[in-house]
Amino acid sequence: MLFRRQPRSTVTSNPAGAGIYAELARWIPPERLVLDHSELKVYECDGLPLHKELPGAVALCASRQEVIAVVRWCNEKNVPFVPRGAGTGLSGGATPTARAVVLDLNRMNRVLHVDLQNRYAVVEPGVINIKLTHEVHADGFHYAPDPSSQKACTIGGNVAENAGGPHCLKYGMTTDHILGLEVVLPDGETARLSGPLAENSGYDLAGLFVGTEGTFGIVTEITVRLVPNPESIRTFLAIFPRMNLACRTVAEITRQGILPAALEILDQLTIRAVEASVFKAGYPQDAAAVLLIEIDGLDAGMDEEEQKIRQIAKENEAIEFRTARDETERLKLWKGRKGAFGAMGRVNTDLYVLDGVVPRTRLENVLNEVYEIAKRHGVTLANVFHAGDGNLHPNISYDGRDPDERSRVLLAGREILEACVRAGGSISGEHGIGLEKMDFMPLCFTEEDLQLQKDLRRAVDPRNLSNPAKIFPDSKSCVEVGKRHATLVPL
Amino acid sequence: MQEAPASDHLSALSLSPHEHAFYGSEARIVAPDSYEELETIVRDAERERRHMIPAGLGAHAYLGNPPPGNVLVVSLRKLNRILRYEPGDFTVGVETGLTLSELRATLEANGQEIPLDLPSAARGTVGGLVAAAPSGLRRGRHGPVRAYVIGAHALRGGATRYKTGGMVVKNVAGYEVMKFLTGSLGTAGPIVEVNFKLRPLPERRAAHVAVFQDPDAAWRFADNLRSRGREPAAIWVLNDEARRQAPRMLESLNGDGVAVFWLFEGQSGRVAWQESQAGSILDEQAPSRHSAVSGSELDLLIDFLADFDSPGAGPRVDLAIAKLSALPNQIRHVQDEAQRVVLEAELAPATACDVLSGLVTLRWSPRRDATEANGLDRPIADLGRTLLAQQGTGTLLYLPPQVRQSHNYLLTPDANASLARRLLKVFDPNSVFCPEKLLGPGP
Ligand SMILES: Cc1cc2nc3c(=O)[nH]c(=O)nc-3n(C[C@H](O)[C@H](O)[C@H](O)COP(=O)(O)OP(=O)(O)OC[C@H]3O[C@@H](n4cnc5c(N)ncnc54)[C@H](O)[C@@H]3O)c2cc1C
Repeated sequence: MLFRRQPRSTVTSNPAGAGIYAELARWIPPERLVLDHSELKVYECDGLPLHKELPGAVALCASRQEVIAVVRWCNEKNVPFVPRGAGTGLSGGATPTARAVVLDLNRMNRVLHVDLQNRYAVVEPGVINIKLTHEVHADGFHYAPDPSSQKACTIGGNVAENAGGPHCLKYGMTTDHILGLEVVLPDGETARLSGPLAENSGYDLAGLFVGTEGTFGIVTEITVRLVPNPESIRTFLAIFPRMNLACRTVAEITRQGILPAALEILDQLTIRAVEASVFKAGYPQDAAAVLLIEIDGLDAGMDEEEQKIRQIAKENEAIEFRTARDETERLKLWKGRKGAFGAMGRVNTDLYVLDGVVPRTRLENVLNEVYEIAKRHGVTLANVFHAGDGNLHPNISYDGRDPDERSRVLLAGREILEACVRAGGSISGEHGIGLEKMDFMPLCFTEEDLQLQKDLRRAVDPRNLSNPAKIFPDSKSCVEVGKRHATLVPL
Repeated sequence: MQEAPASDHLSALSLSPHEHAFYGSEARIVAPDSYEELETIVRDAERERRHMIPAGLGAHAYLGNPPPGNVLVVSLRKLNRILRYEPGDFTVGVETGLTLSELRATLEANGQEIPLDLPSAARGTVGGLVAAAPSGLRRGRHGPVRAYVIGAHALRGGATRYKTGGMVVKNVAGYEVMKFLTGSLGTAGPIVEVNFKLRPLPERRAAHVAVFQDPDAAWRFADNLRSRGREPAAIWVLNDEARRQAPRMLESLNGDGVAVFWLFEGQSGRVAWQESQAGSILDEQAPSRHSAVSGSELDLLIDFLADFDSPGAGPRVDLAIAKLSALPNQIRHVQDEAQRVVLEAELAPATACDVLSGLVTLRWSPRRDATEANGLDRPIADLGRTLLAQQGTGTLLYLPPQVRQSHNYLLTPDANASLARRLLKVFDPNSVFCPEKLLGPGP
């Protein structure tokens, strides 16, 4: 079932008329210019199917020059534009504004330069995340940020969302791995922000641009840090009879100053969904929670670290503590975790993936609240999350054809994020705000906080053309938080 | 401006030696007790178009292009509380007037740290740390200051208070305004609170120094340690002049030649193994001296290195300091070129190179006769050229107060200055926060 948002006042209207997009053929060859209604439908949303909108045109750009040409044309015609990577975003960031031009960047997929001595690479935005690692792995390096979608998502999309992933616990988020950017600004000018050097002159504009979700223009080249492969990796699965024990294990590991590469928890419903899917990983289906632990680094000291972790798990009543004996077993354990969203997607017709963060010590309490909220609203909720950094992903499976269930899902989602904020956390740890959470921004920020961000946006994009109507609630919804979902109407 | 609320602070406060030297005799200082008072001060300054500089204890006042005369120094030293600290969360939220030594002591008591080897630890404040964003000894391993700032509360033009980020280690709600504030030298307005993420203190640290008569052998060792050195936390190379400037108590740095300092940290067993591996790499190059450094000598050495990019507590008329950033595999070349340029002016430069980060800190003593060949004009121009040729960047961290005005803080031009100025206007529409401090005078 499709849902169409009613037009919003902040959206730049397109006065140009439908036929005008054909003009883009001056710069984009016809086979890479999508104008046909049925083909345009492919681009009407990203990984969040709650919001859908048809773009006016899609330009499958193959070079920076083409990006510049399209952006300039949009400026001339006052048409909004939306950059798009693989469309795996879960907050509606790449969902087009009505009649916008979508710039699909997947064809800009070259690794331009690799400098192993200085540990960096320069890539185009359409490079698939895992492909960069494949490119340098044999030489002893990898690209550390590893969203679970890494086989599909692009590094451009990662930069725009400041994507995370299981190994960000030890290695940091995307922003910690971005050394420099080339950006086509919303007016079509190009800027090079920082580069491979450790320190650059002036303000950290590259740092500011990461995570701006396409609202500061289009990233056309990215200089990323490459990280040496660890000498040794050990992966464990600790199995618990109760969720709180898994959470306590995580808290104690961190408290003891151990910094694992990853600490991921899956709850029972997720385990069962995974085990019933192609992502089957051999997780015990009667466990209340499993904790996937990975440590990596120099071989020396690994035994000691493993011993400490084992002990902590034991003290927290782990029923079993498994060690992946080889790379095949390790990959199998990870397959279950990385395929968890996919597996949950099979439980019902629709899946709503939430993304809240809480301070680590509040994890246990907030999780209890999350389950309680789901129960109260009668929705099917499973949890799979980056426990080490308090990043929750409650997944709600539902039947989107049932309007009553859908509204209960949205209400539960909102209450869960409210609970995260009340606990001192935030409404997004890695998936971004996009369309999904713009009305929730006032939960975290005051009018003044938001005004500053809007002013920054205006300084970069005075005409509000670059991915408009994302991130910030319009002034009406600032007052009436949460009303926007009510304006979703069935087609 | 309305001096009344600040009048008693005026009598109790005085400018730091650096503030006095670099801001001129007309500069005045106020230290608000509360956020409200700070807001009043900013509002008044804006109304009167009077330049103001947010400050802590004035330890870094020499950084940046000097402000116009008659500047008002707004010291946040009285806003110095630890506001939020739950060790289990590995985050801390503090007011920016808190001294670094106080913050460090609190964190250490809980087995935690911000791994930045805060320079001038005893003197500076948290605000100065964030605004100046110094590199830190272990930058190559742990990253820059900005990697640890997860949230901030600050004031912008119109005395509007705002918050950015939060108190969680992972957070993508809204723009990362902290990135713009970190390293802004206060030009985006006063930062009043900062939230940091923390790391556990390493179980063990093991530091070593080797001195080599042959500079090539020293660099070969440093390079080998970088490429197969088993995750060192820091590798620094000090030229002979830098080595000689170290306090005499640092016996490990005695002898002649180029010194290499390296550090491992973490779990005890692992560190012992790393040390022995580094020992084998060292054996290939035959140093004239090698010592393990620990205890108070290590503290002293870390202080010496962390303070290498600063003139100390007071201004010096005979010192220039530049920081150059290059690709790690070009660091020696850039260092050699920089040395040559300064030597051409017949001065002996001291260099300290952070090998993992590709950063060269260069100190030299310009002669006092203020002629063309005073040891500044030519080396500075040549350093700029050298950096451009190597695609490096650099800043003139310190120049004697009397000549600071004649040289831009940035040794290499910022290609995005106009975009940066557009953004800066959002924070400072009336240009009262000394916008020229970082980028130089506008077009
Ligand atoms: C199964 C699954 C698992 C996931 N797991 C994770 C996870 O572990 N961690 C995580 O962080 N995310 C995860 N995600 C979310 C998503 O994959 C990330 O947000 C990813 O960064 C999006 O990349 P993309 O190429 O698909 O971008 P898109 O979805 O196409 O776009 C995302 C945003 O970036 C903008 N954008 C894209 N390219 C550019 C560019 N070149 N310049 C400027 N703006 C641009 C778009 O306008 C949009 O706002 C997951 C998603 C799925 C479906």
